[in-house]
Amino acid sequence: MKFEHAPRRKIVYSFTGFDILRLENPLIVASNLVKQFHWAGNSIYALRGISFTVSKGEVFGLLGPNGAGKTTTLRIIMGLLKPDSGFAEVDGVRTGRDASLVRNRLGMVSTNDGVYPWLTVREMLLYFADLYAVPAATARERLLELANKLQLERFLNQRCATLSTGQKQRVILARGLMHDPPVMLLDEPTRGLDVVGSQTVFEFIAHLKELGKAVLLSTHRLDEAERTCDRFGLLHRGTLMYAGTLDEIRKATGQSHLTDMFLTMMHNSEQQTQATKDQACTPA
Amino acid sequence: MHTRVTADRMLRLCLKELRESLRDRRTIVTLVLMPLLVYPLLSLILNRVILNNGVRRSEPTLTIGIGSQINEENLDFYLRYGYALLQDPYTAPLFLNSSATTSDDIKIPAEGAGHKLLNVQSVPVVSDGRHELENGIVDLVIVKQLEGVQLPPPSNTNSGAQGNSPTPSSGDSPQNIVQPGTGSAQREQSSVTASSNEPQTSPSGTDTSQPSDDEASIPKDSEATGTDDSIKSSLAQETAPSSSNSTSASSSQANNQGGAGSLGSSDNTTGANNGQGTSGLRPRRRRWQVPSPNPEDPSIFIRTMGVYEVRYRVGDLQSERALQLLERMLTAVNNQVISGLSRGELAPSFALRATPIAIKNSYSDLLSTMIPLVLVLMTMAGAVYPAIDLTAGERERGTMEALIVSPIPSAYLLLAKYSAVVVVALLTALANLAAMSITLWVSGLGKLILGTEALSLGMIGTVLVLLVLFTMFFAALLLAVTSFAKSFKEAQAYLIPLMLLALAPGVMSLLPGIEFNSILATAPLINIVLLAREVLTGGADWNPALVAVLCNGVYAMAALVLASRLFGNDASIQGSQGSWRDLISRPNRELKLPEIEHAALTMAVMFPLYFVLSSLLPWIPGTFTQRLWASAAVSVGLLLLLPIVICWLRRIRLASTLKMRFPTAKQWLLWLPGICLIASSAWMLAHEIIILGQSVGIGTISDNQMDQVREFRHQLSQISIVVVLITLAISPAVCEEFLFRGFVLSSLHRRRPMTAVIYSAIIFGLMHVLTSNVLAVERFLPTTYLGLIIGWIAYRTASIWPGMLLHASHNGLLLLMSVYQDWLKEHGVLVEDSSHLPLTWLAGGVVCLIVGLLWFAWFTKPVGVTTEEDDN
Repeated sequence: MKFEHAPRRKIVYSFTGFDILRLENPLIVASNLVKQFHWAGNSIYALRGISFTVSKGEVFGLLGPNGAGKTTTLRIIMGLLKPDSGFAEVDGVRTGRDASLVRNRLGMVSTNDGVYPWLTVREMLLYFADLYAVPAATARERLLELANKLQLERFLNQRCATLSTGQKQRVILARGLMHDPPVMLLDEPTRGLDVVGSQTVFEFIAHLKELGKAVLLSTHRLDEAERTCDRFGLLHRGTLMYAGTLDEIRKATGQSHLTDMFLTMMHNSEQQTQATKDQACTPA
Repeated sequence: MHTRVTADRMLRLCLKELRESLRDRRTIVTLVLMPLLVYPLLSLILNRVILNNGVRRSEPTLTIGIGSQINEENLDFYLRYGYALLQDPYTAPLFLNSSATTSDDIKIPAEGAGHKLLNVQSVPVVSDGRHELENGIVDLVIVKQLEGVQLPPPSNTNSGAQGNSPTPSSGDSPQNIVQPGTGSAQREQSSVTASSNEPQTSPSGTDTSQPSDDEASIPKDSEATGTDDSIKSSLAQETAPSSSNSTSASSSQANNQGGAGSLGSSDNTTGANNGQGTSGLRPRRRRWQVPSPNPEDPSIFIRTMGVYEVRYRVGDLQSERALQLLERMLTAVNNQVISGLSRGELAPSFALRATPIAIKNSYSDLLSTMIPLVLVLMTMAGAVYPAIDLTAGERERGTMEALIVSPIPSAYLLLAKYSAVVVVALLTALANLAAMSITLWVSGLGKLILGTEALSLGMIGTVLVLLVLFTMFFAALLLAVTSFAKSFKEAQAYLIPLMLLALAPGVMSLLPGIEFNSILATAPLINIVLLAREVLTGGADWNPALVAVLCNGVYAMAALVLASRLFGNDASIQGSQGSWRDLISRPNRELKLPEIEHAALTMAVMFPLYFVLSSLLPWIPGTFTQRLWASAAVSVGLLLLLPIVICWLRRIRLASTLKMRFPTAKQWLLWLPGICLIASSAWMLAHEIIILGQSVGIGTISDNQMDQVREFRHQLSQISIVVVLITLAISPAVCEEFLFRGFVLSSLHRRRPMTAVIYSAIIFGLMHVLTSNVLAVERFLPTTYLGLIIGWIAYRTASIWPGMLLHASHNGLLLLMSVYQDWLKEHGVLVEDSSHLPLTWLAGGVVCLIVGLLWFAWFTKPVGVTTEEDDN
């Protein structure tokens, strides 16, 4: 005797449909992301259809001026925002579908991140390990490892409030790796840091690459992007103008330096808007 | 793959929050400094309030009532003498000229005595003076002489005593001669008191008969026992001032009001106060004047020897002070008599037998509400900072995003924060309770308010439990508000109105005449304050107390659910506005099944509403039938429509939530025998469970309730059986099934199936306990048992309908049995309500039940192949 059973929750592994993406087995997939923000009768397009992929062991730089939509893209990948259309995937899992699955695979370090002033570095890092359900023994091991890597040993028992900005940034970087995620999102990790501090971040990114993580780095500092990233996406007003390796973009823009490319990009888009405005004006 | 939150992980999460807030020095400030500062200050204020309020006079005067059974005048003299001795043994009136003791009232000779005495006045009272004592007219009553020296002619003394008060009959012959002597003293004081020139017309204290100089010597050479004559003379002498009092008693009031200066005004205030309590029998009040005994006659002391019964208000500072003073006065007199008077020949003693009278003072009521209110407010203050710091503070520190991005559900994060806030608030409560107990104990206010020496341990424990309950509610509320705020400042801005709002019911509970009843027990905050008041001033009723406790828990849960929604939700749309709208607006994606939070929300709305409505039901005017329909409407509205509304609001698919899949005809045919078997036999075990519960003592039904049940049955048998079945069997069955086996059971879908069934059955049972204004505790077990059976069937069949049919037929069967009880009894089918079923019946019932359950086990398959289940 067979009866219909109540539905069970299933983990849905979805694929993008682009064969090429599947072959590359990318860890991060953004596919035609569109996001519009509304408030009080107003609305603005933050993203107008963005697609890119990041593979294992690759650092992808998401470049763009302020307000280009970098953070929005990252938030969609983190599952904090739902795209109006399109989708994002992390390690084969759709974001927004099963939040805990996606989040287990993600590490995130952002500019605005802070520390708990009243906790010691050790307590804070172990707390985040707990949040990600890392077994206690593994967490302790990883803590020492990361402390060694980021030169945090001396501060482990110090309260976070007593740390300097650079030390805090290192704690935050360590925090992002406590659960050893395959994917790392870095949202302007060097903002407000001095040369030495930035150097630590670069070393950290290099370390991530060594570990074979897929890194998505959002920044508006082009010099450091040029140093660290394998591929770039140039974002402007919610549109990905160019994407590819440095060589590919050089060919497309005819500029050799990232800064020049950027300026060209912005110049072009301004001209375009001007042109559309002119078009709108001339018939009249 | 769903990461499980284990207990130790949860504990570590809680510990982190606790560490964070307890290391913060701002938390410590509210935790330690506040109670240290507040309570001493508060006790100072309270002391003032009580002294002003309790005594109701500008300067405290102790009033001693003297019972009508006592030879009043002798005692009066005795007391006055003792009082004068106490003031200054060396300037006691017996040894001094009249100028030493000043003015009308006995006041303290400023330089002479180092210690300050309170003013004392004596008042004759009717019978035992209990009434006056309770109304605060007198602070102490000397009721009667229990044992003492029986004087030879008791008739004499009696007549003398009786003659004293009403008419100036016997006592005015020789002793009136003394009065003119005192006239000079009186004249001296006429400048102080305005209108009283004649000693007679100033009964309220201006007729001070001062002792003259020559008489002021110790009556040392006294006879061992007083002869009749000497007794008489002393008696007569003593009656003189009082007789003048009584003659003018009628005019005393007028005189007072006419303008006795400062005295008159003070008397007026007391008169106004007394007037509320006893308008008819206002006792005459007599100011004390310094006694002028005949020094040759010690018999006055002998007459007053003995044991007296004294009544005082226990726990009343004023009254106890009066008792102490009385004791001291008597000791002073005794000492004086022993040392100077008797020379060993006579040792008169005056003993007291104090009878405490427990009296609730008007202000003690006020204060016993104030204590929990202050405690509650302080606990609130303690919870505020950690609540803001752990929610809005996360955002401010920039750690919020990292938290939200982590895979742990925000509900757990919030639970950890919640427990930290609760712990900090409880620590604050403990600190406050300790500070308060110490303050009460040190300042002696505790006696006044609670009547006992200090707060007893048990009372502290009870108050603490109540505070825990309150904190659990308030912390959840705070978190809900602070989670919504984006910054510290915003959170504080939201909290100020919240605190004021919280204050309003607290102040309301301070108002006199507000009683702790079932309806108020559902009001948040106010219920805990009222419950605490009940506990502090003596036992609280179980029924509203339980309701209050339950409601608090439910509200706390609802607030927590709201908080966890806000905590997760708001952060995700950082930058975009309209969080409130998000909360109310329907989500875009349809949920197939509800989550626990939805069920919690439903329960939070339903339980209090259901309780209030079902308490109101008996008050609805109308016939019995109309009331039946009304109750059916309530259950349809709350149990059926409410979950549907919530499903609509949260866009949850109704069909899957309420398990509305209708079984096919084939399935019906298969399951019907099982349903019949269970429906016909389930009630027997339920009946047995009730009776077993009663024998253990769970919810024994009182006779009164039994009468109500009989009345109810009688009314049922009067109306159409169809109406009865629809309103009492079918409509509850349908609604309850939709709610409990549909909505609640579906919301527990993340749990293991059997766990979900058990939880839903317990909630089912709890709801039946809370039916009317009487908590039917005995219904819990049988209802839960029925809930288990039906829940299991709903789970096995993945449909609500078989269970509904089972429920309805079970209810219907019980109803039919009670309506046709007489007929059934006649035919010997049914036994009495309160006795066990015959063993054969019981065995048959159990067999039927088991067969029915096995039937279902056989013909259905467990839904969802997640874990192992036992079918039995």
